[in-house]
Amino acid sequence: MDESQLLKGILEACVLHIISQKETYGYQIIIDLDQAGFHNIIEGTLYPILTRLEKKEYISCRKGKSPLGPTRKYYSITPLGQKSLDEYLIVYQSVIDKTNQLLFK
Amino acid sequence: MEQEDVYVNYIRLLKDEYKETFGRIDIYIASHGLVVDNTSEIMEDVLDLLLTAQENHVPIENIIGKDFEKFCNQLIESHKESIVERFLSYFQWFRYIALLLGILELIAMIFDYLDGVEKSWNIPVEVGNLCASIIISFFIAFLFNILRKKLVLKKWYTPKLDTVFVIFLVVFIIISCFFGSDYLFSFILIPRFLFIPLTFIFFIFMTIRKRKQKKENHRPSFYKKVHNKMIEDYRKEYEKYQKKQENHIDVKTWYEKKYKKELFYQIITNIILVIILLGFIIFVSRDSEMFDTIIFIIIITCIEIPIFSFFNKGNRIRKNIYNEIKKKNTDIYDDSLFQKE
Repeated sequence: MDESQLLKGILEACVLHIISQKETYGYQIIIDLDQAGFHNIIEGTLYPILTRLEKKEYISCRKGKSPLGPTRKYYSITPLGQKSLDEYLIVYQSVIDKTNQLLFK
Repeated sequence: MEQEDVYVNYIRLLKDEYKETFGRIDIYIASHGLVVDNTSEIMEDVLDLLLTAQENHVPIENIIGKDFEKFCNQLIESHKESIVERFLSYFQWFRYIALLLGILELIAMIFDYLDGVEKSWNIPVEVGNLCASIIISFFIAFLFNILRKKLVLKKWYTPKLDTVFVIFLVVFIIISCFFGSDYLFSFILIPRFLFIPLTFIFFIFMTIRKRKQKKENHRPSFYKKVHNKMIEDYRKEYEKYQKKQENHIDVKTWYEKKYKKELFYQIITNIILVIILLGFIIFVSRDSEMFDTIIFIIIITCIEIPIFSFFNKGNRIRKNIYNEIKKKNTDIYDDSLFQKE
């Protein structure tokens, strides 16, 4: 099975989780994901994820100035996004528990 | 600096492989034919990514991954547009041509009517050339962009080579339209009473759409863009001047001199324009009747005023910057002169 397919949904939740910690921007999210071990799946997938999250109104975006000068998009989580993340974590934990029970019994 | 709108100015901060990667992504995204506003928005994101990576000495591979093509396609996917939107954005370029054709045909119709031509509004307009030009240019640009997308993946295809390629494309399109359009669609004839309103409707529709898009995307106005760019250019020019001259004058005196020189050229240009206009009127009135001459003057004034006011925007902005500098008693290096989005 293609690892990237499996990770697609999880990645969306991970991005939402990173944004929920504090207001952040594209580069920092990539670095955070990279440090978490998602090395080979980044390749641009972040931007469609951010667009999807924005369309669902899970995150909001404001344009600001980066310390180097050009425009930077800063993302922050919305109450709807926080609610969705909390719900996801419950479902995710439940799926993991069931999977663990089945695979490692 | 508060020049959020002119991301182009920051590209020069990129070095070596970061600069090269930016150039390649730019070509790839541009060849996809997205709406211009979306392309700039994507490139703003890419610029921020690469500049920050360069500053932190993070390898490009850590940012865009191993697959350049996949990275670009994902970026494009984040700004997905419908085919209709892309078609409309392509036709955006034709709105000024349509307006010009409409005005010219309207003038021809008025003159035909005054010359006693019967039912001058019924005379058919050959739109075959226009249709053929649109289709030819669209087809060539489409094929060219497919080729460009493949070429940019090759190491030897540099942004400089791409510029040469684009110039070649433009020349090729012009030649193709010029020679090919005579033979295609020559059977398409539309009467003036339909052609003129259609061109105006097309222009108005496309202009409203463009404005709406700008509002939705929060793009800065043309005025603000020019205003900020002008200050940037003044700074660059002064820095160049400083490098050239050994005994250079201070920035305030340099700017004062520069503005007065520009003002002088502006007055000369205006005088030349008025002379040309008067020459035109005198030339026409020599062989025409008084009534025709008056009509001609009215039409030419109606055309000239918007054109002149459009080109005069630059002078107005220049004057505003000058007045602001005087009022604040500052110089061109004052960042508060930049207009915010």
